[in-house]
Amino acid sequence: MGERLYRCDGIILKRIDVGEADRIVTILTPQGKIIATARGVRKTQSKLSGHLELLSHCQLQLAVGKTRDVLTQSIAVERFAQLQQQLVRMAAGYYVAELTDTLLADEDAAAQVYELCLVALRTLCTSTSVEMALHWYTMQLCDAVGYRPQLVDCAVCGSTLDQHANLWSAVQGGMLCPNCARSDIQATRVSLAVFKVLRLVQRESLSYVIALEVPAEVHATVFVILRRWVMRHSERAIRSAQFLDDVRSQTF
Amino acid sequence: MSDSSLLLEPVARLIEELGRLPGIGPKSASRLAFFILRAPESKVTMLADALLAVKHQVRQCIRCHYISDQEYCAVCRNPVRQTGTICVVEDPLDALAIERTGSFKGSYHVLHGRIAPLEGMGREDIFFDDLLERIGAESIREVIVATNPNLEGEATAAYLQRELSPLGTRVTRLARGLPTGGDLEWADTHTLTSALEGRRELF
Ligand SMILES: [Zn+2]
Ligand SMILES: [Zn+2]
Repeated sequence: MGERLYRCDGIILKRIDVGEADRIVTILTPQGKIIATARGVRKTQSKLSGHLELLSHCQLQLAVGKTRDVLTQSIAVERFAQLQQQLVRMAAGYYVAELTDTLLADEDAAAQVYELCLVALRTLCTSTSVEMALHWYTMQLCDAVGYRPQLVDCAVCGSTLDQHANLWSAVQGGMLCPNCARSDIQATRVSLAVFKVLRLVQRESLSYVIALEVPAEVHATVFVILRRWVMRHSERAIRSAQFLDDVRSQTF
Repeated sequence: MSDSSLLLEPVARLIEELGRLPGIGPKSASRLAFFILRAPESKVTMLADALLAVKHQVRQCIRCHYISDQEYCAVCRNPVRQTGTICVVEDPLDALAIERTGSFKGSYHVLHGRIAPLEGMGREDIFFDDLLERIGAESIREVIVATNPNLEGEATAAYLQRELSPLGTRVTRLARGLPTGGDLEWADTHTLTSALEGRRELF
């Protein structure tokens, strides 16, 4: 029987247990998201089992299936083991996985998201600023999938924003200039530091922003703004956010 | 024509109920339903009795949450078992797997779940606060975390470690003889025994 096989690189975003020992695995690949069946992986003697952990970067071989493709081989090339060695990094890893799975819908953005995700995971393993890495990844991911907030020009009138801009409006799609304050009476008042962090994580590389020292309350506000922004576009809650908040409160 | 009109209501209902069981998809549910339909009534009565008996006669041990037919489970009732050491597992089946090795002499604590952020499962969804209480009340010296060797198991272990070590309790984790990504329930006795013996401090 001619099984049609193909190979690809991927990052494991989600696993759901099915049946006795099988798993349905969601994989981010440069070509798009794949949802595949992995047979028998929950048995500890399974060859595949150690090579399909959440967020592992793997080389995969799949067989084309009728309803779903079937994983036939997997070799973990990067396991991001440091993510498992500290609770807050682990929580950040879950958050990255869920954000990516939730926001990435169409294939066009996959190659870019795949690269961003690898950069973010590598940095999360070593960096001391887990928060900045998460801001950066959230912002870059939003950009890649078409949810880029307006941070350079006013979201309403389009005039160039300066240091006097202090209102964030998710409804209008970004920051507002002082003249447009009335366009959203529920806009959030933000400090200049918050505005700057938002702009930097949109514009700069991760290695640049990771070196910046930012007060904890600024991080907290940026977190809330970006999380609500994501939820507004995904139209669902980010479940791992609670665990992240829980472990973040004490570890930083 | 819809399935239920073609199948008759009682059959459709049975398939639906069986389909709610873990690991049973619609195809398996239909197969089981038709097996039950063909089986002699005495066999079906035995099955129904067994289902009700497990619900009526089995409950959770009030100390460790393992399954029991009395207030305390067989392990907790056994006077020979050591106090001072608790082995924390995700499910009753995991406790059973460790019990089969015969190498653990302390008591268990069954969380009935694990911390799984992607499923929204947190500390309040497992028997975590009960464990904290036990550590104080029973002057526990060591907690062996025997959660599954996958990321959720590690997250649960790390969380336990963070919450328990300030209490002055030694927190250890099963050794890495266990391949990652698997379920404890599937591990063989030999591997589990060596994992117990080679347990290590967390972080
Ligand atoms: Zn304006
Ligand atoms: Zn008990």
